[in-house]
Amino acid sequence: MLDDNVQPIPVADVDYKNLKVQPTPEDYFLLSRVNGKVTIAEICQISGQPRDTTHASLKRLVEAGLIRMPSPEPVAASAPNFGAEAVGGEAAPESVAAPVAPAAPVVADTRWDGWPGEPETHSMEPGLLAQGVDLDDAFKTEVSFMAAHLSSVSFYELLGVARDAGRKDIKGAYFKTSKRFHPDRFYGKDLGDIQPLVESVFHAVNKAYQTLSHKGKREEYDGTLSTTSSSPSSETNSAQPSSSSQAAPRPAPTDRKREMAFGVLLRQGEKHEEAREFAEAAASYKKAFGIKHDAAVAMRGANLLRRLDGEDFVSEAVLMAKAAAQQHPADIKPLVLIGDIYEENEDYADSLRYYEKAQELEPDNQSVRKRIEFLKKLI
Amino acid sequence: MERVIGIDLGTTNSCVAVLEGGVPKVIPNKGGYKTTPSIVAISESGRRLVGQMAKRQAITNARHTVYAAKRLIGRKWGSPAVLHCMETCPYEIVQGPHDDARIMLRGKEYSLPEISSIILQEMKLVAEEYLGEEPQKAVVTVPAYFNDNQRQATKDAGVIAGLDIVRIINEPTAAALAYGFGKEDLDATVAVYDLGGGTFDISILEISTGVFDVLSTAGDTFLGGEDFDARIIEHLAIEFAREHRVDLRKDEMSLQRLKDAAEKAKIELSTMQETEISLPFIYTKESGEALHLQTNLSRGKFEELVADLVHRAVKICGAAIQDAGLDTDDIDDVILVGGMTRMPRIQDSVKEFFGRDPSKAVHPDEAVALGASVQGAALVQDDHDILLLDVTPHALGIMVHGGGFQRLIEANTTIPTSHSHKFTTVRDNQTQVKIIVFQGDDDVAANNELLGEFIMGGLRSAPAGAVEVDVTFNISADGIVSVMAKDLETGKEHSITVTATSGLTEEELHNMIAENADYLVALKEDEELERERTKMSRLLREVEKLVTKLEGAESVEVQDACDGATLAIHNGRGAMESREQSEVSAALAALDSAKSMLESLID
Ligand SMILES: Nc1ncnc2c1ncn2[C@@H]1O[C@H](COP(=O)(O)OP(=O)(O)O)[C@@H](O)[C@H]1O
Ligand SMILES: [Mg+2]
Repeated sequence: MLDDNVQPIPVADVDYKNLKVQPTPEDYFLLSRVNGKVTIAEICQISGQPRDTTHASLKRLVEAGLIRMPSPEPVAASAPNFGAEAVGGEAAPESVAAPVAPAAPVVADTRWDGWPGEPETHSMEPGLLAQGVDLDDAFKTEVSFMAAHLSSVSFYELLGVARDAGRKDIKGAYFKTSKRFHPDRFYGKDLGDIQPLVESVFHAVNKAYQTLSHKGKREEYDGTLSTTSSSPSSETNSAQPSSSSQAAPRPAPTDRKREMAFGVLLRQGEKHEEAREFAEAAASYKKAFGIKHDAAVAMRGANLLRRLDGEDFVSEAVLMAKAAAQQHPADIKPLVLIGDIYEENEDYADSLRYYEKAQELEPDNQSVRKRIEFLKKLI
Repeated sequence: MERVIGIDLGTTNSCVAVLEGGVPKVIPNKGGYKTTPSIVAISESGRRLVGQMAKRQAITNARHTVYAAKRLIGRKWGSPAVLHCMETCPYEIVQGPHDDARIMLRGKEYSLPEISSIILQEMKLVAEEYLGEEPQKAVVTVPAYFNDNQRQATKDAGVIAGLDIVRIINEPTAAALAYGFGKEDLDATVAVYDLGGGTFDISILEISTGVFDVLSTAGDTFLGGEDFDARIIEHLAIEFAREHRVDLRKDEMSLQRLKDAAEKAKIELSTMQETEISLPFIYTKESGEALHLQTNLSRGKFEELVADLVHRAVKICGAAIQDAGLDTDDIDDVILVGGMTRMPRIQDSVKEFFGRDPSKAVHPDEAVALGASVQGAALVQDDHDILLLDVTPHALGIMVHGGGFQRLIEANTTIPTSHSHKFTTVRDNQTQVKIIVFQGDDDVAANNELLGEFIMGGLRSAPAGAVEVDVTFNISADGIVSVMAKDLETGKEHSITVTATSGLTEEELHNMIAENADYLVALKEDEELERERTKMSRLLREVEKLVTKLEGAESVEVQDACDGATLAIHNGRGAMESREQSEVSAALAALDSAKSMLESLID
């Protein structure tokens, strides 16, 4: 049985073509919800599936190597902040060796909470890995991973502290992190092209501490965090309109970067569409959605995917439409789209289920009513 | 193992240390002193004098003796610092080719980095003598409040002296390193109060788990022991003028003697309540009448004369505490550094302000060099778990339209750090952007220190605002600024080290290095010659004795030997006079063989 309070962690940069087991579309939908913060209990709530089915899905995702479960407890309190000295894989100390210990692959490190994955699974450019002969590969991968995701993690995540951490904890974390990434630690060493990465990490760590160690600055920063938060509660429980259609408060610096990346991907997708490269266009929209959970872009991707031949495309189309529905729970368009896709693929039971959901939202919608009547006759 | 020496290049005194057997140690100079006066002089015969030797002849050779050169390093011609020194220093300050100040000594112009390099060289020699090998690398300290130009110039001094300055660190930070070194469990917030000969610095640090994190730093590059001396000089001069209608400060020699006496009196008043100042024959009137200065100075009077200086330092402490976001209650320990902190009134003022007795854990003259050697070891050796997180003392920014100063990196930002800024063209078809970089804390750019200006050219011709240039400002761990500009459209990059306009050119540096190397060779030769001459005078005496002993003997063999020896003695004397290396060596060899010959005949 899976523990309700466990927060599964997505694994970054997976080779989707060579998965050990093939997850179902529903599994993929759940995957899109896993961010290292939502608990299994919350995932069950949002899955729209029975509890057992959801658990089975999660297990499949673990088997496929797409997510992993964190260890039950961070190992020894004195464990270093970062996971270079790998504590994973080691047997639990005998005194606590309990039969309930989960069988999931364990890397004990609370450090990567909120990060998109783990450095171990980060794939580095091979050329870069050849650089910096004085460093070990684990460190290089870690730095490269961190440098690549600096703009997408919060200052808290960067330092590896809780949102409510006290001044002392923040200072301790900052000192530890500095000891790993301050350029002085590599004095006289050949870092090659890793050098700028190390520097960018240190600069970011620095900025994080300068903000979080200053009462006023921290409050201000916290303010920007809660308005653009990606935390599961605000995402799944509230019926917010899309952030793009809302007059949002001025984005924080990292969010500005996110906006930019989102814009670039959107334009990329449009270009592919113009060139009639629909699969590529859909991939761009999917990536864009990964950066900003914008329902419109998900719908656009789903609409492209459903027109492509191939089972994979269909399940992905459903997935994206579901993601859009997730963003706008009060909007019937995504639900109708899901219903349409299932219907096209002759999965009438599921199709019916989604039209009915749509009807709950808009009981007077004529076309939805017609579809339901039609499907009911078919089944 | 690579050894890195730590050098405290002080305004008044310099000190060198090295980590030995895991313990930082100050290296005493030939005279047995742990500090060496930062004084350079050129004697009448053109000889270079450094340290104690230079200090001893300072009164009689004031025009060609440079002290407190650190007050001028990295300063621009016409800046208040230079103007102040021109007024108060006996040596001649002239305008250099790069709008910099230079010092004229016996008809030769010296740049400030050159003067400082002579002192660095001396400290390097002190270390070399002790270590038995030439140190190649050094960590050199500067006042925390030094700006980029002053740091660059200090680095140049190292280059001229043939030292690889692996890091420039701030003096108070270095003192904190010495304080915290070896105390693994130390977890404290400390204030370092450094009042030396020319500058005042205060830094607030948090020390924990071997990390030394500077929270804030503040200071005044124009507040130090010399200013205290000046108050005594003024007081004495005015008293004297009242009595004799003569301003002693107008006479160079009198002024030097006054200065000397003032400093002595100040130091004495640190331990005594009253001191006697006696300067006989201080002035000779045109009539030939000799005037003497004879007076007493009490500690109370002295403290009254310098009350505002003491207060100024305390006020700066307040600013530093505030910048750190702390209260005086948050400070666990106060470290006193610099010779001036021996003054009781200073110690009292610190105690009053911080509400606690200052620590006696570090030596006020040695802590900075010791800390520098600790940082040197921490950098090159892997087994030191020490990390310094220092800050930049001044804001870094650019001049914007209307002459305003736009801050890009705030003061007290932890270094190394960088900041990117986008510039757009403001006119149609503008093909270049000019960026003027300043460092300082004033809202008007021109009131800050100009670090340099550069032009990013070759931009696409386009309407105003259409072309963007991304400029990254970087401050290294040395506190040195560099700038990189990138044309966002073409990806073309431009890397500029913001060199001070008053800095030395590559070619000048090159010449200075060569000149200094020549000087070193000559110095070594001089020393070698001196050794041979000493040996020769001993041999001369011995051979003369042997000749007197054997002279008059019948044997032809002995006679011949004595004649040969007499000739060798004659040549030896001649060589002693000529000081010609080859001649001395030849004569020495001849004397040596004459000696063994005579000795063999005695047996
Ligand atoms: N016992 C003392 N009492 C007061 N002042 C002193 C004493 N000893 C030295 N000083 C003063 O300290 C200053 C030199 O301090 P130091 O730390 O060596 O300077 P710097 O670091 O600038 O080279 C001089 O002005 C000197 O007169
Ligand atoms: Mg000093």
